[in-house]
Amino acid sequence: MDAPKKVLNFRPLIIGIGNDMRGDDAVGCEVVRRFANMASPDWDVCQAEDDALALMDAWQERKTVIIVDATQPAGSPGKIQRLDPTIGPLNGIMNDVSSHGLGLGYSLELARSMGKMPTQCLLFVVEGVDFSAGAGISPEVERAIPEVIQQIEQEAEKFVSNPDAK
Amino acid sequence: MTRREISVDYIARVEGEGALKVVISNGLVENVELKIFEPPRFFEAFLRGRDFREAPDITARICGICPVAYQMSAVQAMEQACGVDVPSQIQNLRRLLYCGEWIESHALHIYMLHAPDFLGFEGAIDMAREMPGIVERGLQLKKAGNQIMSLLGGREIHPINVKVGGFYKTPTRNELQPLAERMKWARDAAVETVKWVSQFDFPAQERDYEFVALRGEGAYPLGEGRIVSSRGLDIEAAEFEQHISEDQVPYSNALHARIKARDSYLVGPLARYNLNADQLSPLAREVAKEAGLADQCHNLAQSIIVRSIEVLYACDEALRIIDQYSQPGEPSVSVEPKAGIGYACTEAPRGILYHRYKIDDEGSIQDAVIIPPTSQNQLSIEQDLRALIVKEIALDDEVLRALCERTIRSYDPCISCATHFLKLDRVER
Repeated sequence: MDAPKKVLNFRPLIIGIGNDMRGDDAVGCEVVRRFANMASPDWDVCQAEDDALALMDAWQERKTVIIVDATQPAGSPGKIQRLDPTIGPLNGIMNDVSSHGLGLGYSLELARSMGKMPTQCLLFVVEGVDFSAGAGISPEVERAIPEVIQQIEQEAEKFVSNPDAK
Repeated sequence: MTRREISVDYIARVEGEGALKVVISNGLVENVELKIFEPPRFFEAFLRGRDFREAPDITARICGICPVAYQMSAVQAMEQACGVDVPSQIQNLRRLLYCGEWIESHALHIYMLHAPDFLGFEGAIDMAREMPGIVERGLQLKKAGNQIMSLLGGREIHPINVKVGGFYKTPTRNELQPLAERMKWARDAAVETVKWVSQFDFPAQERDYEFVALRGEGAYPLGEGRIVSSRGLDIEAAEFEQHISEDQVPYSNALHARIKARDSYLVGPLARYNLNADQLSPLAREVAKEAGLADQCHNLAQSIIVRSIEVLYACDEALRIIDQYSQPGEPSVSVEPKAGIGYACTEAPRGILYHRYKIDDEGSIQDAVIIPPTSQNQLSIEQDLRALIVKEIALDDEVLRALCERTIRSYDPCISCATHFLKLDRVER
């Protein structure tokens, strides 16, 4: 008995993760909203729940995935990091303990175990400072958004012009 | 005096956050405390002063795993308060939506949270490395449940298409047909799931439980039926609080429910099955029999088999409903507010979920009481853990801690809902 067949989609998918109601946790959502307004013909964007199975569902037919999310405060609000989960586990970057447990780090490792990690996968994280319920995005993170968009755009264009790039 | 303490700071592979503390004094188990430390979320208080039509959308936010259960209990309680019955076509669509939630929730627990306990894996990630095809089947099965939720509920999590009186929009028969094709695949996958889990090695883990579940009339219970128990309880939802109390305990943010006349009780798949096995579909009964599952099963560890039978039933039932479906003329019936009290109890994946609302003649909610299944099981979980520790007291802390966590996972507790869960502290003195 086979699961339903899948067809690989070569258009890069940019996935924003976060919660619009929790301060800087909204950065992933805001980044993909701005990408959506750019209406590029070369890539797709979506928001996804910080849930392993929803994330794997979102990228399961994609060759190229770029994920953007917020990270916990570590003294440098607005700091952008580019991470390549295809190289190995992202130890210490993602905290998987949430009210419903299975987050981004879990989904990446589950995908790796099952051989379902997108061939090209990058993770951009922006360090947050305020994750209060009902708070907006902090000025530090707001200032980082244009820069993270530019970096993601460059990476997406690289993947589009050279589909075999790593 | 010897004092031994075992602690688990966070129970793994459960929904939400909790801890366990065990105190052993002079070789005797003195205390077992299941601590639910997720903060209270005050939903019952939020509901006061809100319009009665808002209850299904507000209460759905209590849980990302079982929002349909909250919506179904809420709409039925409000309809009862207002003296409205909904047509059978609407009831069947609600039942189909509930099937989606059962498939999604049970598949997640069977494959990602519980099966690793029986196969010697630390978790699903390790299991996926060794048996990716099995895990893939689980993910696809869960997705089949999600698709029902998306089509009928408007989205997979926290559906937005449910209202007091029915739905905002109902699908056409043609719109349901692609779902039927997916459910046929899911039904086959569910049969394979039953065969797979029934081959696991199960420890003998039986206690003299009082099982409590809805008893369906001619169908396995999801959203309807009287509340019955294996010791003679047979009541309407309106009588729930006359027979069941909730007590505060100092170490937990979850209230402990108990049957006033007796003690702890058990809700969920095992209870539903023991009280309703005869109501399963012929296919589900046949597959249960082939798997060696009798009509009575009191082994908590085997709840994973019962869950897989319930997934099969839900797929079968979903197909039956889709096959017989005709779109209602109107997606909902009009419900005008009427001062009164409404009660409802439906079968969330983890067990019965009770709602009571008092509304005024303008439909403003004056009072709300919500009792989720994990609160109802909390005392039973503690009693199971005490029995386990007494029996296995000679084991070293690490092994005992793992057995305790495994016992808790057999319940598939939803701590977020109960908040009202594992750090294990074992204190020996």
